[in-house]
Amino acid sequence: MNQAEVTKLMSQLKIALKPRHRNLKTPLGPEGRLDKLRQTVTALIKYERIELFYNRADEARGYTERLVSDALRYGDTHKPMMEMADYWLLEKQLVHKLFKVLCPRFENENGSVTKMFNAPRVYPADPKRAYFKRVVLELKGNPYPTITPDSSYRNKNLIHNVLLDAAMKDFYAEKERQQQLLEQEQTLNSVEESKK
Amino acid sequence: MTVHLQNSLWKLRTSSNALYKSVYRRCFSTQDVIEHRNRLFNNEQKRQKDNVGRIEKIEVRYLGLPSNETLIMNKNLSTPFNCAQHFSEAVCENAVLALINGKKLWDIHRPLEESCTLQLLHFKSQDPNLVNQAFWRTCSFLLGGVLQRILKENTGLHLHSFPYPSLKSGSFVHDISLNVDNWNPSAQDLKSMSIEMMKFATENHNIERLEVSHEIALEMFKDNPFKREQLPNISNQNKGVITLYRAGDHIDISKGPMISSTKYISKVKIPSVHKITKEDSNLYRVQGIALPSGFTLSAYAFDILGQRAKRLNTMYLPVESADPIHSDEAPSMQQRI
Amino acid sequence: MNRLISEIAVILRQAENIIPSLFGRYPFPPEPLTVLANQHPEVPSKQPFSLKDLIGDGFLFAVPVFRRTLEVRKTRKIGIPYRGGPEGLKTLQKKPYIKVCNACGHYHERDCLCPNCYAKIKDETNEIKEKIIKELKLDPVDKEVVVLYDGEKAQQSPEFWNGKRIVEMEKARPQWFSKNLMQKSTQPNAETKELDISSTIVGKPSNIG
Repeated sequence: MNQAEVTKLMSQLKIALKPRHRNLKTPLGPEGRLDKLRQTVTALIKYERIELFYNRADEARGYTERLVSDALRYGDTHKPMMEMADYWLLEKQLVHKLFKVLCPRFENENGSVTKMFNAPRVYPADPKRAYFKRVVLELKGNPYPTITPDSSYRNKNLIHNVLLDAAMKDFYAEKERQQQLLEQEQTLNSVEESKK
Repeated sequence: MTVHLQNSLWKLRTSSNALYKSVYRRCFSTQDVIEHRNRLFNNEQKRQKDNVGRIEKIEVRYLGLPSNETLIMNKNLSTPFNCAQHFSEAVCENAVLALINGKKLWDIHRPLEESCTLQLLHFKSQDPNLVNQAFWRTCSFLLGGVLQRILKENTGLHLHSFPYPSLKSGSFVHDISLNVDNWNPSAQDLKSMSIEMMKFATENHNIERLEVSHEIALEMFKDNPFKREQLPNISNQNKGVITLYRAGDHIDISKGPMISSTKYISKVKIPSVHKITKEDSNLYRVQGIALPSGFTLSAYAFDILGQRAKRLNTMYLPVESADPIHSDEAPSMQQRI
Repeated sequence: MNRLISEIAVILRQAENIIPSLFGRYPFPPEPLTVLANQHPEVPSKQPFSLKDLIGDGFLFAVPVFRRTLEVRKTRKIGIPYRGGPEGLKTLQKKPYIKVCNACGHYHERDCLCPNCYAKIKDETNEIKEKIIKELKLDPVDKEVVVLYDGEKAQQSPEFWNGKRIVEMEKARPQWFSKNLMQKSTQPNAETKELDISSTIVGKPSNIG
């Protein structure tokens, strides 16, 4: 098989994953861990932006991404997919949301489906020491105000962009000129040849 | 006349000739010229400050971060930098250029003259075009100073001028005159020039502005024949007043606003020097590119800019004419600011 | 006879113990005083191995072997690391990870969100969330939700809102929540993948203070 085909065999996860899942201590052990994650994934799909602790958020992220990418791959008539959605989403109206709202939204999405930001650290939390890191986890395309300011509109005028844009224009203008010169030469040559 | 008398007269003549030559040379040594210029600058600066007299108050409405405030400042003494100092160090660090009443650009260390609204601009402001231009202009200005520092005295360096800044042309430019016929700096020379400029920048000089009368400016630049020719034009355009800028000990004539300090220049490259006049006159155009601090560009991308800047920058070339040292005609210029 | 000899031997053994105290530090008595031909070497008494002997009183790990010198003590006291590395450093260190937020001018840590900006966004987000939950309740969610503020619904024709679930907030749009960002859901996808310079609109959002 080609390299390209291998990647189509299963859903892609466009986020960094650890080699092993975290344990997430609960009284029920591994089962409790999955219960906790189900609640988190349900909450993320319901509210589309949640603030929680980093470890659980990172775990839930992987499961959410996989859920959405599988939903895109298999659609809502695929029985194992429905079972999966049924298991992970505790509120059943969200199963409808997954297939009818999130799938169309992320159809053409090339990157990940979720985004994670570090929530503000409150003193005495010190990055050099262990502390419970809080995080804001959200689905892309949510209707809330954006967390990071949308700076795409003014990027063009920053000095390095201005200089690079000018250089690019110059490069292409030069290329075109060279092209035209080549064509002129060619026509001249062909005229000469025809004369002979 | 006796031979003895003739001999002594001859000795006297040669010694006085030698004395005159040494005095001549000494008077015109670069170091002395710069010291003299700075002395005049300092005196004028002090005189203007003392001239303020009774301190009047102005209301400055500051619009920006962290909050919009009204400040009461001193007329003709307080600068936008002083206004920034009322807020925090972060505001002072960020401020590179000031905008008065929403339309007039103002240097950060230039005293405010009347009640106004003040906005402090930085490289990543909403509309950084004005700041970019000021940055490019400052780089041209400083390039002159750097060349004066590193080129030896026997090259006969005279700073001609620097034109209106144009970012799209791909480089900032300073035109100089040397008595060297074909100056082709090697790659190593250019690299050391770039490093010198970065060193100069890290000396963290505040860029000061001063308006002087035509006469004082003539006195300051009496050694530079090009400036002598340009000054009448400039002062005519500007009601007999010449604006000078100083960074460290380098002083030059310029109209436009400069950024507040040399510390904002972080990466500099001087990729080429082109000879821009033929025959007798030896005008060279030194071209450079620079980036402010806070902008990271990969070596590859910066190299692209450098490659482009190697080609002659044809913006605002001084019209070709003979060297003013040897002729009576002054070189005419387009938009020399 | 044997018994006599052994008794004398015991007495002399006991006397041996006094000799050190007689001679002080260097208890090597001159040769004539060293005793006896029949010296029975002491057989060590056999005691059974007991864990109590080994662990009984407890044993200490990481016990200092050498006394800390005065220099070392003083150095530790004033907080200079003497072993290389940052351990023991007690001087205040600059925190280069504290930056100024470009949007609001407050301070925040380099890798985190600005608390001032985020608090604003969080409050607004929570309000919107409540409104959405109230509107949607437990119905199956099958349409994208569009959040509108005062007077914005009237700006577009009713057909524009077809196929979208509208949640209206009963307040004016906050200055910093740009309207343009909503257009993603209402704009069609690009027809071709080619870059068309005329079509890339560099729009300046209004109302940004």
